[in-house]
Amino acid sequence: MNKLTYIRSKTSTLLAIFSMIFIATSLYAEKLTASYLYNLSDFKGTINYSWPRLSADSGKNEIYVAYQSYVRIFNDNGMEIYRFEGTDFGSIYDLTVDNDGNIIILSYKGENYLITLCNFRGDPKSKIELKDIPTEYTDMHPNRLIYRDGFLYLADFASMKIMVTDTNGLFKNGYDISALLGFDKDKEEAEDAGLGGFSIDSKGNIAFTIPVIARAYLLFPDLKIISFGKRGSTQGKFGVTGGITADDKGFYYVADILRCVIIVFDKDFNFQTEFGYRGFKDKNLIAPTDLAIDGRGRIYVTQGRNRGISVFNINYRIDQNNEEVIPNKDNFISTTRNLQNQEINLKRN
Amino acid sequence: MKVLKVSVILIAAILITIGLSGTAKAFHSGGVAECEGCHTMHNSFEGAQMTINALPVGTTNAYLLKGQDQSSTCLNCHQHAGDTGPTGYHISTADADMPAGTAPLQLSPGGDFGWLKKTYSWVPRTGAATEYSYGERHGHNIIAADQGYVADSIITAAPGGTYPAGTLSCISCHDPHGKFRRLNDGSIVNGTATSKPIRSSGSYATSPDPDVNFAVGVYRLLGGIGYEPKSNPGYAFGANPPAAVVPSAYNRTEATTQTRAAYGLGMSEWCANCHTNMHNDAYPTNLRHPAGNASKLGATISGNYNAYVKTGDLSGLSTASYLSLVPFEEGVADHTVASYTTLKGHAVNNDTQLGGPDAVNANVNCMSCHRAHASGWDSMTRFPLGNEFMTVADGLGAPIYPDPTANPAQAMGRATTEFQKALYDRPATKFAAYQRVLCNKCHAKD
Repeated sequence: MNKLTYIRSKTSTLLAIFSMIFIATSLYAEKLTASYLYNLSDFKGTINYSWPRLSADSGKNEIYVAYQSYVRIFNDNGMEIYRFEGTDFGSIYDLTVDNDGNIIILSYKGENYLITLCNFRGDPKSKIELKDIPTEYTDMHPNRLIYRDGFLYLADFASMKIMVTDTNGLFKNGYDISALLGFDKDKEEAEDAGLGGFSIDSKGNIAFTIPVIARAYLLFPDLKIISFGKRGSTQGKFGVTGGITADDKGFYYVADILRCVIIVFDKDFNFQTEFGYRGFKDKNLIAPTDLAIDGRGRIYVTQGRNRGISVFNINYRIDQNNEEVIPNKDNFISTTRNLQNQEINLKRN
Repeated sequence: MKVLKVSVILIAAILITIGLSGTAKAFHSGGVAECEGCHTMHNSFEGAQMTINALPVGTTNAYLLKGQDQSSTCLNCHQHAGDTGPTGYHISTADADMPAGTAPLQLSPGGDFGWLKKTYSWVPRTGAATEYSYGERHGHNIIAADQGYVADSIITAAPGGTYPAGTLSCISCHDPHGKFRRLNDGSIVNGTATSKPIRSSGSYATSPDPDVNFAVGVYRLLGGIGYEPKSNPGYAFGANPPAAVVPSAYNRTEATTQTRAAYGLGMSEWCANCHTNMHNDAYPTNLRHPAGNASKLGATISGNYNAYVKTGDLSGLSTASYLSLVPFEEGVADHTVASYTTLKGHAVNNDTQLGGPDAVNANVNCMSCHRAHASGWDSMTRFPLGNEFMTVADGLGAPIYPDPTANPAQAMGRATTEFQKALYDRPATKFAAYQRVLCNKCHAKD
């Protein structure tokens, strides 16, 4: 073996080792991927609208979508199964589903908002009147409503206030995000801020985004706040932050309206992956804004340009410590337990 | 060990503090914002395309924009689905938030572009032909594909000028890079060798003044002399932005108190950058309504303005006559700090400055009748012109807004709530029953 051949051989070996390390590192680093499934549809095809509101019933894996005065309900295959028009409600702004399958609707008639408890068909059962609201929360104009563990969370994106009541409307807690972050109400910063997304994670923490700061936040019950993400145009960075949601494994998903991606962070807020990107293919997104995630790890994304709601499947991977990161719902099968670096395909029974 | 723990806690506290404070500033701050907010450099990162188009990785959308087009990029921030009312810097309402019979939500002095999507039809009386108020007649038809805004289908160029309607976007008027700035000597410059850094927006009553070291941004990042976007060259502006300021909270209901944008100088001259032949200082030499720095109201018109309260009521006083549906330009001398001090004193939203025009300096300007973005009325006027009456009367003779069923000719297809919203939430009781249109604020013919 001459010197040249020896060097070539060693170089090839080194390159092969580096390649393997690179591939292995990539696989370890990326705990999940997302793949496009379909858009929510009826029997005529994709339902085209821009930026409707949506809510996931994780128990039944049904998706509820509100647009203007209509509510559409989609089954776990993304097909519309029921629709009702809430003529009594005015403009429907948001909706959520309680543990009994009742639909709770937030709507506006003129300047006044209503919270209405409906049965699963959308028939109004009762109005939820808010009670014992402290003065500093009486001027709220909520545009988001989430039911979680017996409580209703109402968020006013403009004033950056969040109010928590029980299901009878009795005030339990309130959060003035602007004050918690130390914004000066007399200056432009309070005027120009505002929330871009809001959700409750599986531990009851409040996740939210502020678009003008290009940052996402997690508010804990003890009023501690953690922020994550920063502005930029490269992967994992924020342009204009929109909706935020979390799955039951601690991953946080943030919609970036400007960059047209969904950015995923792990429970320690380390960037994991992003997907979507502006474009007109099925897998692409145009100005994604709101997010919901069901119990199977399917994420639902609203967007503009009348592109409706895109649905992506989250494929979880096993992490470096051989700890499985698998869904904890019983109606899924993990096909590759205890195998490193293999994707766990989530399939319904 | 204890010292180490304390140090770690201190460092963490400092980091959290840095992370959470002092960051909620406006994106533009009177000048060029963070480049990556709107642009991508190479359209790729580790081989993945940042935006998708027909171009290969390594190349980009036009102008390196992240958005489909200029206005879509702007509206990614300036519109947000889910708004329940006027919200900060939003100037457009998403379709989801304005179903039929519901008005757009934003109430900035410039108006909500959502009105462009509101087409109304009505039969004014039995047997008459249907009349229409088309959405595209309600404002500047910006093109923003992502948000569903399209070019005007009728008008191909700026009325009174040649600026092509097919390229109209936010950056036709607003310089996205905000290069124009106001200096402490009263000059407006475009980032030349002798200009100074922009320290802040100059659009607000609360904005700092320029000083020996720093400039402030011009009103609303508007383009100045020589401005022509790269996307549409050949229509370079000949006039600088106006002298004007607004209250810090400007996007708000006027149900109880008015939002006073204090216009000082040069608004009409600036509009004439595109609407050249609409501008007129010389009435009656030519037969167009005057609008411009030299179009002084004079004693008669300013006297009418100050006396006018409502139809049939000319008992007003000059100290309380201001009406934001018919704002006037104060006619300040220049762009100096002294002139802006005057304007800032008037730009309030609490009705503490309701003084009307004087007989010497005040003049009519384009904004006296029109909104800059869009309005609820044809020709983007601030008040309706389609019928002689803005209100009707209830059974007791009190003013009410017209009902589309009972008063179709006056309602012009608008629900009463839409009608009121288009007048920025004013209750009908601010006017007379059978209130005539607000040309009369100056002309007092009613």
